[in-house]
Amino acid sequence: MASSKSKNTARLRAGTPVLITESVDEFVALRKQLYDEIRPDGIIEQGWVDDLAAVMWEIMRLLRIKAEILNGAVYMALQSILKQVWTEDFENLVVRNRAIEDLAWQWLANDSAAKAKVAELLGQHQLDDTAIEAEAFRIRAEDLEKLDYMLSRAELRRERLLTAIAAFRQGLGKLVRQVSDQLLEQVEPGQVVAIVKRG
Amino acid sequence: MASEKQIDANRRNARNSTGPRSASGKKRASRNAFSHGLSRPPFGAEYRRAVEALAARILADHGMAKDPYALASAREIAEADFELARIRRSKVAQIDRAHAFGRLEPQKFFRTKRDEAAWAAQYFLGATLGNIRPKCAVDTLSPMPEEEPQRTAEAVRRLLPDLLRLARYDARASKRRDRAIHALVSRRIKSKNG
Repeated sequence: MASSKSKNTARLRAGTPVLITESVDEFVALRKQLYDEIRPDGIIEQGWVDDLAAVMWEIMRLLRIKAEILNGAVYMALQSILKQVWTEDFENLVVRNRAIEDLAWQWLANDSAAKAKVAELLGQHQLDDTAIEAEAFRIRAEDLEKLDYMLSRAELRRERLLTAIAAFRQGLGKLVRQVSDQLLEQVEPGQVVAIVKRG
Repeated sequence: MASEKQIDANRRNARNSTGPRSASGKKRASRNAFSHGLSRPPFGAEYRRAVEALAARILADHGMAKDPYALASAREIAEADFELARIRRSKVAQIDRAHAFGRLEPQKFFRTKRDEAAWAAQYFLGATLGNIRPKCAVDTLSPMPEEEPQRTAEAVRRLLPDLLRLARYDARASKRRDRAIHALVSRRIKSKNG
């Protein structure tokens, strides 16, 4: 049973943008929701809706990752700031670096004493926690810029897909109208009434 | 605006930029466009059959099964569709691999090939290559985080330049498909009107 399930997952993943660490079921649910709302008609619209699901999945992933990239840089950022603000005399550079590393770890682990110590050190220079966030941003600026570019491209793609579906339907709508106009032109007014009545 | 002298200098310099000269450089440069293999359309009978089947389905959907002019557009839609799926699979596979190993390129143990050869000569033959003392490569990548979601975030962060390249391929394939769909719909409107 487990192997058939994993086979099924592998089959689904082959055509989906789902990573090993992501949930196939959640992606399938998203795609189903889009199918239910857009109700694609024909293989072209189905392709667009599949694309839309993939693009939306990617947008959600990129937003999650953006936050995680910043979070991942907080330790480095705090160390970098502590090196500037912690001016206390240490025995030597190794001891100082060790103390900074320890304080940064404890701060990340929400240790109240470490939090108070960091706040005190920052306060001595009229700084607060936003300085850490800003430093994390600075450290990862290049990555975040690339990520933002990818996000804006994905969002543009999503907009284009929605516009394409609407334009396609409008095009088909126009076509249906033209065909029905032509049909109506071919029949006499009396026949039209009869057709409507038969309707 | 550049002066005559500058233009001449640029021309002279450009004559020197004639690409790689060594055999290995030429070989490497010949594969520049194939870094992902995505700029090259896939071949093979199975792929062609799949394209033809999808194209036939697209035409049938639009009641144009017997229109030979629409067939070209339908084939292009099918090809672009498969390419988009391939790019998507490639993106997922690359992130999954970076998630597992922390990198796509295998880890280097020596700085250069020459260092590697010097080490091999020393280790296996007990010989030295000139005065070369093999230098080990320094791995500048930090270890991957163990926990999720940090590990996936780090994998994506390390792959950002590759993912940007894939995004460009993706945009091109999407545009090609959209253009082909537009051509197909226009053809259908014209044939109904005509």
